[in-house]
Formats: sequence, C-alpha cells, structure tokens
Amino acid sequence: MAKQWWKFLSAFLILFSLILGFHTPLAPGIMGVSPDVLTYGATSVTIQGYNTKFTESGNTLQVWLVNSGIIYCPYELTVVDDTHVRASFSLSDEVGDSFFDLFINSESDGTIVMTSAFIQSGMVVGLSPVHPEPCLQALAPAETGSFNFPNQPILYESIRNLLFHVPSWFAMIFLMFVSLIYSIRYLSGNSIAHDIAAANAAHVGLVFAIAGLVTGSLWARFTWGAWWVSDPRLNGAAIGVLIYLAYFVLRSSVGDDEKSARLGAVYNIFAFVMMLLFVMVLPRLTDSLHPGVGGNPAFNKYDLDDNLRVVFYPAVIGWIGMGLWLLEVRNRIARIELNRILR
Amino acid sequence: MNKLSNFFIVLAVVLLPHLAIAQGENSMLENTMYQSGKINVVIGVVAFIFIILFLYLLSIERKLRRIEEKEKNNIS
Repeated sequence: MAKQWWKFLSAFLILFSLILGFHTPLAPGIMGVSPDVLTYGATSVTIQGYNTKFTESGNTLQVWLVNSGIIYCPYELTVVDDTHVRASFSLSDEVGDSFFDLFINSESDGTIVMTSAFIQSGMVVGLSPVHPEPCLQALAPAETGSFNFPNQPILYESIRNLLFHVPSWFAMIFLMFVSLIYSIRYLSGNSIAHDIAAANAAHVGLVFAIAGLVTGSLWARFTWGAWWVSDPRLNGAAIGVLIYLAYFVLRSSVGDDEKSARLGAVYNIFAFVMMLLFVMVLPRLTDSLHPGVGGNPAFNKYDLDDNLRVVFYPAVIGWIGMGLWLLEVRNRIARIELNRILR
Repeated sequence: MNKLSNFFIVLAVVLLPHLAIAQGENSMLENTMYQSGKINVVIGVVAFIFIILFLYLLSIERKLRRIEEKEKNNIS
C-alpha cells in the first residue's frame, strides 16, 4: 500500500481537473452583435453578452466603439436583460477605418471587448474623420478575485479542452520517453524484460496519442471548421503515431526474439528523436493554428492564462500518472508471461 | 489483433468518413455542438478519452485472461 500513493494522487488530480475544469465559469465576454453593420446616420444594434450581468450594473454601464483611435458613444442605451443590451449610435459620414471595436464597461464585469464587431457601410473611410465630443465617464475597475477561464472568441467554453486534450499529448511524450529509457537499458544490459517494458510504454503512449488525435479532431471541427486541417503540428503528430506503429510492425515482423528486441531498441531511439522533431520542433519553424507555434514557445501569458494553469498542470501530472499505472499493469502481466516461458 | 478490436477499427474506418460528410449545415450534431458556448465539444472530448481508456482496459484484461486460462490448464 505504501507504494501506491501516486496512483491515488493521479486519480485525485484528474478528478480535480475534471471538477474545476467544468465548474469554473467563463469570464464575461461579448458573444455577438446584430446587425453587425453600421451605416451613416442612426443605427440601433443589439449586443449579446456571455456570462455578463448587465442588469446589476444599472446606470454605470458604458458602451462605446473605437475606430482608428476615435471613441464613439451611443446616444441611447437600454439594458434588456443580463445578457442583452440595445445601443443606438449616430455616426458621422467619414471614419478612419472600416471596422469598429466594441467595448463594454460595467461594475460587475469590468471591461469586455469584441474586436472588429462592426463593419461600416455607406460611410467614407478617409484620413480626416470627424472627432465627436469626448463622452466616456470614469470606468469601473476590472473585477478581481473571481476565478474564471478566459473568454476567447471562437473558442468560448471549448477552451476547457485544453485541460483534457493537451495533457494526453504530454502523457504520450512522457511515456515515449520512458520507452526510450527502457530501450537504452535493454541495449546496455540485454535483459529481455527491459525490451518488453519499452514496447509496453510505447503501446500505452500510442493509446494517449490516439486519444489526442481523436479529441483534437473533434475540437478542430467546431473551432477551425474541419476534422483535419493541414496544420504542421497535426501532420507532425500523425507522422509521430505512424513512426511508433512502425516500431510495433518491426518488432513483430522479426521472428528471432533476440534480434527483434535489439532492432526494436535501436529503432526506438530513432523513433523518439523523430517524434520529438515532428511534434515539437518542425511546427515551430512554420506558422500553425496551434498556439505557441511559429517561433515562440507555448505557455507565454497570452496562450495560457494563470487560472487555466492552476488546473492544467495538475491534469498533466494526473494523466502521466495514469499512463504509468497502465504501464505498470501491462509490465506485470508481461512478467508473468515471461516467467512462464522461462520456466 | 483479435476479433473485437478489428471490429472497432472497421467500424471507425467505415463510419467516421460518413459522419464527416453527413454534416449538413444544420444537422442536429452540428447545432448541439455550437450551442451554449460550444460546451458540448468539451463533453465530447472527455467522453472520447474515457471511451478510449475503457477499450484499452478491456484489451489489457483480455491479455490477463489468456494468461489465467493457460495457468489453469497447466495446474489441472
């Protein structure tokens, strides 16, 4: 029992990530506007918020548009309910840019933004737009202290997938690393148990890779619009999976046990390096839809919010632990099988 | 490879492209997924991880059962 603590820890961390991952609300944000076209003269629009509390703010609610640095305020503002507000704008005939960014500030939600919320129609885009009178009152400070996940356009609630899709890739890379260690130990010690353990670790890693591919595919369908896009990281991950499939084909295609173990171990060292190249290095060299790819390492403050981090790292440790547990079970089964053969 | 996992692989290969193509602009799955801030995508992702782990546990158990049967035959 004393050596089992890490299994309880992993299960607890996964449970922790599941509960917090689903329970934490999304930060308030703007879901949409209708219509999304502003014409010369007066235009009334309905703004739809998400997780907002417009009615609580009452008279302190402020809505404004920003177009090439110029602020436009509505002449009329009606709060319909917590998530809907109607605003009427009166705009001059010349503006500096075709797109308007929408800002809402309130005591309960802080300042929320929707960039390029509106496009102009029938106005002149010129260099000398008319500057209206300054209209903004003192802004309510951002609400601090509430624990919530960032509200990103397109992603919305699906940002929580970060806590389930990405840890399975982390677990896969960790298990492949364990497999590499076992392969090196086999080559230095010639114990067949190490070779079997290397194959088992790669097997469990492959399961996590398939989980990563399937969940990534589902996520991509409803955010990027397709089950599979020709993204360097996606193709790299698929190639990584194929490299490890080839490892199993190689192992099973050589009849001689000693020879297949030796070949497999050598191939596994190459496989790990190639997999890392395809999954981690090559996507960095080009542009990708994945965050943190295309020059910069991931996990800077724009990619991973502090609140997500609190749940993300425990989830990574939890899933790695779960993978090691599966590996242990497979290894113990393999040991019994091996002893039977040797007997 | 055994019969059950072959069955699942064939099922996946046969069904997935159909699922992908059958997605009309307003199919039911499509609407559900885009509803309420795309929360159902997260539920789908968690469900897939659980299904995959479940199938993997089944395969490990099958391996164990084979050994158990061999042990039993040896003893008797």
